[in-house]
Amino acid sequence: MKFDHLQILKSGSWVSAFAGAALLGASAAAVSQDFDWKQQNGSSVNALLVSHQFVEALRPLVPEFEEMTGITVNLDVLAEQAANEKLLADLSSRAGTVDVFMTSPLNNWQYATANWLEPLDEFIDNPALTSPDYDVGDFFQGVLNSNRWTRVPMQGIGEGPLWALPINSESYLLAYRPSVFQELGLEVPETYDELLAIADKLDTGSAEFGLITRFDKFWDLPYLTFGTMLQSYGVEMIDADGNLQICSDASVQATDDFVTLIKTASPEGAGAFTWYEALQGFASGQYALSLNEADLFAPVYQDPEQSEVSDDVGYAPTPLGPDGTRKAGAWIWSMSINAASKNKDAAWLFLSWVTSKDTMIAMNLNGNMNPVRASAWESPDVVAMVNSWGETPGQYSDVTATMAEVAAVRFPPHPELTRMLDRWAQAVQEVYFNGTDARTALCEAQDDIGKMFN
Amino acid sequence: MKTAKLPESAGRALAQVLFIGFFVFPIIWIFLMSLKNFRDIISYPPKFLFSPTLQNYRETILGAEGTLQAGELPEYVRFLLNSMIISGGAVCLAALLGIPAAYALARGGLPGRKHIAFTFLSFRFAPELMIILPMYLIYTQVGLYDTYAGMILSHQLICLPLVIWIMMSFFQDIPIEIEEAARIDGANILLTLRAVILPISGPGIASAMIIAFIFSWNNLIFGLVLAGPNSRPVTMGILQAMTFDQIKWGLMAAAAMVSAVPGMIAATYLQRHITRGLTMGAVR
Repeated sequence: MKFDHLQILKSGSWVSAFAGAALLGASAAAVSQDFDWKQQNGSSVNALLVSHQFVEALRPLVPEFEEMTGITVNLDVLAEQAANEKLLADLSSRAGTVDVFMTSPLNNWQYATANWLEPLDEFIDNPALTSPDYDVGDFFQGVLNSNRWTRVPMQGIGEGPLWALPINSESYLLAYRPSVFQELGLEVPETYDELLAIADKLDTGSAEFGLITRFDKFWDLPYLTFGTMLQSYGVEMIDADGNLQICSDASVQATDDFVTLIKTASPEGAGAFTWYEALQGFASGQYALSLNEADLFAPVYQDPEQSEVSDDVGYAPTPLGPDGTRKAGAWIWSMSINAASKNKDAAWLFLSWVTSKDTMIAMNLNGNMNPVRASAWESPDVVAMVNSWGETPGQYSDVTATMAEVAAVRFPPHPELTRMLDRWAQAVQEVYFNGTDARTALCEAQDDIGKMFN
Repeated sequence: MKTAKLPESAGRALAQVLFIGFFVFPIIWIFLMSLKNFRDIISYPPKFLFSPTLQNYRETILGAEGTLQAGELPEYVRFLLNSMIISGGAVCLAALLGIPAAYALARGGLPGRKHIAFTFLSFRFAPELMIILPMYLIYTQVGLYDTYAGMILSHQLICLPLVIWIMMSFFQDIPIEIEEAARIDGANILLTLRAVILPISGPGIASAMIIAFIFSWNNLIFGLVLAGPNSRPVTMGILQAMTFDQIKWGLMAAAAMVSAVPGMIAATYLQRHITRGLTMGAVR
């Protein structure tokens, strides 16, 4: 099992467009063993981080790094939106106060376009700056390369300079309550058709409501959670010929089905549910099913301190689309170096230590999920932890392996993409809240988005 | 006559109760939330009966167990101290600069003093976002970023206009004859201000400083952009309860309750001064 998982993830099509991208890594191998970690002794690094389990996993390890290198690390941890605002202030003014920060490919399309990011290839290729045991080939190449981009809008993702290193990855799955499904005599749905067929029965058992999913009015709706459903219906934002597909037949169908599902099986007001409601709602035991939610919520569901369902939760892959397709969105938290930083070498030493094999495994064990290095999935401790999650042993691992096969960033890299997807999300919201005809709403959104490309 | 009055006063009492409830309920609700554990907070339907816990306060004030090194203050307490230093310092500086300025604007024969006074007021209503980026750049270059001095200076944009405008109308209320009497006795302007005007301006100064303190205490944007880990104020501390995937409601509620205490004390005990300060110069 473990072996299969590893093979799949290693070759995983996270970013399907560039399976053939060149590997790095070999260059760093032939270096002397005594790497000088003390070379930046006495300097300091400011890291701006988003409040996330990653940070809680990292924090206790930092003194180790400080002792090894003599570098002082100042962790500045803020809520996601506050962190983004502060980061924008620092990057756009080129003040260089922040040396290294948490980001994602989507955000980086904006930052890289503005020349705010330091390309990382030169650091990785420099044996004086990168420890010989770093092994960049150990990253899942799809995940790693999602941080490459040529900076040509609409193309070149997975190629060109490396703008960030991944620190964890997220895809989507179904989380369900085995007791509720058993009580109702229902099977966990394998397709969206099956899900639609049982949607009105889900709340007839001990669960208060049928299903919950994140459904807010921002870009993450068509990008991540509902995006996973859209892609399984065969919808991509732009087809191979460069035409927008936002109001295609498949997209209209997916939107109608999605809104029907929510109206049938979710409580009033579900159109404003964010991560918080989705995670806390399911953890509180109110729902029978959590649709296309982040797989890395699992550590919370499994923790009796934070969850009412720790002994009553199972995982399944996201449902199949009408023609049996399964595709899924992906989110990859990453870290970049500020191009205006005055301590780039020290910042790199910190970043390369954070993303090194040993540090990554230590953090995976402390809740930073999912691993982005193959060596982590080989670690017996990580395997043992993950195997205990789910209705049956190994269920979570199997499901994430299945999802890793189909998870990808299937959007055109463009600095304005979040604004475009916000508009798309608004159309879905109109269908849910105002009962607007799906085709009308989506075609209007498509027209507006088309104008944003100019 | 009497029978007609009763329902009217009962109606009024009911209206008052509803009115009070409308304003007090959110505070009570947050207070209750701060006493719940996480599972009680997210439970549905909401629980009014639960076994209260002080865990949220403990974690807010003493820090989460095992996360602190010896001699290190919990993050929230540091933010609270930062806020006290920043808002306290900002108000003192604003009083030091603002009171003489208000006196000059109220009594002096400065040409264009209305425009000057209006310029100060405009600091208050100009959106802070407009100036925050240039300030950030300047601060990082001159070394004011993430320092108490820098924060106290930036908070002058909040405190100084309030002090100047409240004190200006207060000084204008003082009968000019008192000052003229002092002059006849041979006092110069500074002595008049120090020995005659200031002693009778106590309530005005107190209310100006309290109002300035509350506005400064509640400010978020300067703390977000111009402060770093060393000088971050308590408003940012409350936001820290929002993590990527969940909001720690209990901690946030406890943090909000604790940080509301100074404002509540000021508002309750010094209410008389505040209303006097707010209406000062309103009727003339």
